[in-house]
Amino acid sequence: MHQYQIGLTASYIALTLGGFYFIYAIKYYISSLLALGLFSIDPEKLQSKPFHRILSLQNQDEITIGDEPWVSIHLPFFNELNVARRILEACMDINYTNYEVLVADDSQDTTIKILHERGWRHGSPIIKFVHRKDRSGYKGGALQQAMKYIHPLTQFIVVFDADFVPPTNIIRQFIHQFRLHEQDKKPVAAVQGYQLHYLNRNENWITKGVRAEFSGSYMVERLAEEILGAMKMVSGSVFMFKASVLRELGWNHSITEDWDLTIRLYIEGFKVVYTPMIQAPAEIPTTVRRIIRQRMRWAEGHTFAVRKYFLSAIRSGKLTLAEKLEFLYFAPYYLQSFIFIIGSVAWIIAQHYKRHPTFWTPTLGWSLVFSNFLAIPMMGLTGIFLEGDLAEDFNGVFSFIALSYFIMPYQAYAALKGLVEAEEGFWFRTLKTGHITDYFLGLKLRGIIEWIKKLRKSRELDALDTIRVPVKLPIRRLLFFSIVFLVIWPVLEFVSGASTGSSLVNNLGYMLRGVVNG
Amino acid sequence: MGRHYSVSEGNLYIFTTGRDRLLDLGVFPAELNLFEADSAWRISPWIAVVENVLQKAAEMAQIILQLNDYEKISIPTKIMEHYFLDGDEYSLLETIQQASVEATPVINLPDDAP
Repeated sequence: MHQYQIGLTASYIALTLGGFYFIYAIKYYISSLLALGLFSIDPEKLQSKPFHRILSLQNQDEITIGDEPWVSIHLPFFNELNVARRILEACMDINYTNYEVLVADDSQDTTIKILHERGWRHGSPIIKFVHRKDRSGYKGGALQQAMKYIHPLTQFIVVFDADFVPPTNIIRQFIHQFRLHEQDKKPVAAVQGYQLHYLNRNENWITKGVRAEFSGSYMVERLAEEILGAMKMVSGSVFMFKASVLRELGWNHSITEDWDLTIRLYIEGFKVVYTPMIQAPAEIPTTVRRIIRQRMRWAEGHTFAVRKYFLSAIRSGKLTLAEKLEFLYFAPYYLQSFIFIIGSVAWIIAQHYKRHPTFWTPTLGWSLVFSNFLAIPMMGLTGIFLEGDLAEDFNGVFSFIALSYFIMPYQAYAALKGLVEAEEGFWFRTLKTGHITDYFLGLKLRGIIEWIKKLRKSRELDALDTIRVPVKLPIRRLLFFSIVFLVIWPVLEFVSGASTGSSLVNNLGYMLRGVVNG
Repeated sequence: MGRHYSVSEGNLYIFTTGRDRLLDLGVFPAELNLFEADSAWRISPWIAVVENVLQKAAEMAQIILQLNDYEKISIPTKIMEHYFLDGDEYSLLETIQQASVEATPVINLPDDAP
């Protein structure tokens, strides 16, 4: 009797949590389908769709020199000896006139010797260094300090982390997106670009895994959020803010200052626009230890901010329904790890005692496990497929699976910590090595090659020549049908079990035998 | 054109105007803790600012600046801070001009002078 109760309770817990996780999985699958669908639309037809702006590129003549709004590029530094010179030089090369570069420096090492070099003081672009003697407020504190010293004419603020290499046309692309959305009902506070974690993708199995993960996030998930008009996050780097909005909202001293700011700007009635057409390549953390520390910070800070602003966001009349739904979905994002662990343990216990609810068919549990297990990897596969790197990077998906299960307990612990702690923990910085295995300054997109070719009137877009012509394989269809199958399998299993008490496979078998036997 | 420095509200402002370029900040010994990790400082192409400088370090820095042909001048903090933001020399030059007029000694001639 005792074992019966344990087994049954465990099976209900497993089913509830598995179902909860399956909601996330459905979103990932739908996002993958939307991304595949978007890049399947004929460029001519896409022009007439409301979401064509996502894939819009700036025309060279659009922003003339006299028409350039003043832009302040902010670079938060903390001991960036390996990459400081690289990002500063990249920022100096940007094809724009009215801009300054402002380094918000908290370094305690010899990075400051690089900042002292006279070569940065030519005057065009203006490069300013603002050094703090402590690290109070971490990155948010440094960026808030930088806000005090921006040029008085500043209209837009761009932020890059030190390990990024912004392409020369990036400011023009950002401003182009702002102009496209000028007439939107909801004012745009920021445009988020694609953090292309690519520069050292072939360094080891970890960098390959993270590359696949980011590809899924930026080429698929955020793209779908943009199509659906959902809440989108400002993600720490590669974004442009309206200076007036940032002056009003300011940076907080959170360990996830980007997410904290995102929630506040939505509560105030602004929105974020995302486009994969603005890309800046960056480094990938190279060791498991660094990844774990980074993800623990994200999990803790994210959950802490959700707890802090949850009611304000839900009650706010300035968030649309789609934005609120996305916020609700994203709120327990890092608690997924905790849910997954508890659900898996409960499922193992239920399997051990062989106790299940009446509608639980032998394959229902497995279908949920497979569907949940493959949701994010499928999104990663879709992402790298759309970028044209499937042949080279598909094995990154396996690395990503291994990595995500390895960091899951740490992430779960940090998320729980963020949920219950009175004050946030510390910021453990992610070391940038400056090591490059793959250099790329262009656009990683396969699905819209024709679209881009049409727009390649300007000199700046010549870099797109590096895009390879896709090999005609039925991969798109394969991905499409795999995703559809993984979404509907658990649903059909559940329906089959609830209605007949037998598994889908058995029912199909009976049906097939019935047909064969007449 | 000019090379100047100013000490105002505990901050040391080192700045240039016109085509003059700021000096190499390496001339300041690390012991002064001016542009080091443990002090708060700012640098732009035309002005370098160290915040809350210790009296002794400020005195030593002034000697070094004078050796590098920098001239001490009294400029309000607000104007210096604005100069850091946009590098607009207009207000600054006006103040420098005014300061130099005030600094020029006035010779009082006797009434019966020819």
